[in-house]
Amino acid sequence: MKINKLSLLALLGVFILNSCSNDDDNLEPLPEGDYTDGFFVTNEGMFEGRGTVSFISDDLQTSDIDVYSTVNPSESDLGQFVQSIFFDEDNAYVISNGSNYITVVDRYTFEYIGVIDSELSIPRYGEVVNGKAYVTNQGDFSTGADDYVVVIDLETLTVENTLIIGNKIDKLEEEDGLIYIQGSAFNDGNSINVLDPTSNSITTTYTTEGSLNSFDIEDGFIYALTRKDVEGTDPLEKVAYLEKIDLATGNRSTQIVFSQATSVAKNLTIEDDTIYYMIGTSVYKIALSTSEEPLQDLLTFSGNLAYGFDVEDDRIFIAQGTFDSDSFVEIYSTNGSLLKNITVGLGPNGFYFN
Amino acid sequence: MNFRFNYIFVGILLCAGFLYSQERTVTPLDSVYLTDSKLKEYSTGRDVLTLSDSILYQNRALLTNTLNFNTPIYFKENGLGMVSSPSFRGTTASQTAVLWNGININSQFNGQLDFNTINTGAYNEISVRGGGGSVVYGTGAIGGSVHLNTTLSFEKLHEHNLFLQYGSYTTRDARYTFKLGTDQWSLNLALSRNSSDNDYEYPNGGENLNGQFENTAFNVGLGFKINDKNSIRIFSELFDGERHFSLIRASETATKYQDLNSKNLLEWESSFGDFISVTRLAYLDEHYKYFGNLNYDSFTFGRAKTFIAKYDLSYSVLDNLTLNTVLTNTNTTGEGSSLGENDRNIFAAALLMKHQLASDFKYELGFRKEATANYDSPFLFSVGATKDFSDFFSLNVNASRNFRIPTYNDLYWSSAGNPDLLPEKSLQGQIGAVFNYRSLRLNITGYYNSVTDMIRWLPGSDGVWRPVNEDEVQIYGLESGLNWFKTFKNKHRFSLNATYAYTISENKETGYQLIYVPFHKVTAGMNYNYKRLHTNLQFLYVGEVFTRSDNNSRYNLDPYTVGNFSMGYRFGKSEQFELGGRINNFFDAEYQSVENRWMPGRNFTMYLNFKL
Repeated sequence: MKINKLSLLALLGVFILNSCSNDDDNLEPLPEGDYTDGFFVTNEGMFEGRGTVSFISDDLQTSDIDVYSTVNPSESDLGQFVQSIFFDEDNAYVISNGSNYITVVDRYTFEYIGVIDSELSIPRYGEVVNGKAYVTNQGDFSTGADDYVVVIDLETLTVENTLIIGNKIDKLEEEDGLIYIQGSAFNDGNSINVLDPTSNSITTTYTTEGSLNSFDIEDGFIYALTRKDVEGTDPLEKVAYLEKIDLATGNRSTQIVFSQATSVAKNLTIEDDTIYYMIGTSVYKIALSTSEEPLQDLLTFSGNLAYGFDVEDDRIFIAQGTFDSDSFVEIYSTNGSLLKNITVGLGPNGFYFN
Repeated sequence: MNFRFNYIFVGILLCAGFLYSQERTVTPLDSVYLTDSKLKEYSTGRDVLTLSDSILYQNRALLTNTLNFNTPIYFKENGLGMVSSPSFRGTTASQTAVLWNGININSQFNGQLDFNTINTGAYNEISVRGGGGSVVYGTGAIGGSVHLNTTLSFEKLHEHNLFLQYGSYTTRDARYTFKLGTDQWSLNLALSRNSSDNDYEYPNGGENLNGQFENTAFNVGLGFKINDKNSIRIFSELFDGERHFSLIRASETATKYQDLNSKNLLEWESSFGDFISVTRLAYLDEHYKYFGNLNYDSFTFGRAKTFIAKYDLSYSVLDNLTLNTVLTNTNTTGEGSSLGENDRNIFAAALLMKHQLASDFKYELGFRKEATANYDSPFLFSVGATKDFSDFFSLNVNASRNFRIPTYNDLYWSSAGNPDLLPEKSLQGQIGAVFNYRSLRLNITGYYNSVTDMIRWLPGSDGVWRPVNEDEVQIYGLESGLNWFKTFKNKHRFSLNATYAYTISENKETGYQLIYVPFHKVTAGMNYNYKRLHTNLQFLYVGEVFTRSDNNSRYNLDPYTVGNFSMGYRFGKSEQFELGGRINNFFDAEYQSVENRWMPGRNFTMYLNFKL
């Protein structure tokens, strides 16, 4: 009865397939657009020029060096120094810190939607929480006292609130409904300010021992890369630390003291319970709990200045800091093998994933 | 060429505007005195282009505009009146030396001079000399040198000149000069003020916001002949300028920049036997403030005070052979935000010789060496010769080694400055042919320049930008000038002045042309005078430039041609008034010399020139 069994299986198969396609009909449609499957690279652009955004497909096979101009040839440009992008469900928000505006585009088609251009002063990074955007601003470079966060109503694209933080601020990260703000800029500053979006106030400020380079949050802990000068060295040497702060108790501990060097650990990011960071052009990979400095790097970047760095979906992304011509990014697997080198715009500084 | 002849020559060429001068021997007996006498005496084997005051009046008061339309120097200007830097013979912004009455005034902080912080109304004549000149003029004279001069006339003279100009974008330009002279005294006073709202429209619909500027310059030259053998001269200038930096987009952070600079020079000239000695003391005060965000009061600043003591002794060994030694001590105290306070002392010794070997052949030699604790100073030389083959044709050759010293920013910038920097060095040679036929003068110069140890700020692997001696550049090209004038029936006077520069300036390692160095630049000026009527046409052509170091043509700036036209009429019994108007950029060309920095379209000015 082999045939019968097969027919039964076939019949069963038809039912299963049918039910599958029925299920599909009930799912929300997948987002449509040329830039659905891939990621963006923000390029600062020349001092006198304009920043750009490059797009690279997930399979790394296609790319567009200046996607905004491709889609919106007649709109005004993205401004001087494209610093970063943040997303909500449908839109991408492109921050120009030289021109003090944020260009709003569809995150999947990159079509121009609008612009936010008031009450921003050297805007840096943004996050969307509960339908509002929170964007850090540095204002006067010479002091952190005036640094502030604006709260933007994304329906009207207007600033509805301005919160003075009072120390230098830069990147921010949303975790469990709270916004963690890096309280340092260009390694100057040693705090992490926690902003509660329900009250629009700073509820907690954690401090790090060394000056803060970068941080990430995982399983109730802040992991922070910090550094201190070693007095009496010329050229000045520094020591990097991996500090760990318990969000529940606020207790701070030093997990790793790195060896003294002129070029210190930077760009901490956590992915799949693994810490990635860089020293110079080398990438290192350690387990979350490790307290020993690794002996061996994972990979060495082929450029001379790793200006943008990220880890996402088992891939490592590094952007070369070239400021007098178009530059490139390199994508590596998390075991350190190079997947692709792709040309992007001038001064690439970050990666944003669709 | 004796003085009298030269004076007549000047008179003839004034209507043409240009004055080309090969050489002029200045002695204390001359009635027109130029303190930068080395420019005339030690330019054997090269061409000096001199812009007289009549040419200066045909241009805006900003030095960029004057030089851009009348010389082969290419300018990178961030919009009208904004930051402006030269590229002379394919070199970088800090490789053109600017001399004020013979004193090097390039900034101690960045080694450059911003050519829009010079008001030309303060000077009688401006000269430009292509090629190296470090033996006489010190640091930065690699691509060439620009000379801002105040002349003193020791003859009976009492002359006021008031020039008023008003134009589009509320641009005001007032220049007043007063010259008083006897055979013993001479006074030259100049006061000029230039301001503009500078709110012109961009071709893309935008407007030049926050681009307003104003500046005032006061310049005085005073000379006194104590007796036949001794004279004393004083030159002094005060410049006070404020410039807002224009925004490309309305929401950008508004900034501004203030300059307060003073320059002072005291000199005593004494002759005894076959010797002439000139003792000079100079004091320069360079002070800037940069307001990085006009919403706040905070600013950054830099201030450098420079004392210069100079002893210049020349000895006429024979009638046709002169030896000259120049000893200079330069002491600078500089301070600034991110710089701390630093002193530097540079002692320089130069030996010069010139020899008129035959009536149609002369040559000169020069050597210079500096002693300082701040950098390793190279041995510099210059050698030049001129041979006249006929009245029609002469040949010039010149070779020199020149340098550009590391600046305060390069050496002392906090946690980035590099105390181990070497000076940039240049070894160059040029050969030029000059053709004279009646009133036509044509010169063509070919040159080669190898520049090594170029200082460049590059990001280290830690992300901090630091200066390093990195690039080598080789430059070669052609520079050409044409002058011609003709008078018909004693009434119609025509004149033509044109320059052309062809420049290859390439990074030796990559072979790519340097960014913002055009292959071609052309200028042309045409004058026509009829009785009391005067018209002038100016053209400027700048070829395509690269803006990316890899010469990616996607980002090139387009070539542009700009034309200006002016017309004036002289009134009064002795033609002491001139009333005129000018159309700037009459083609209404849409152009930019820096990416995203549009220049104004067609615009207008009216002027009144009053002489008494």
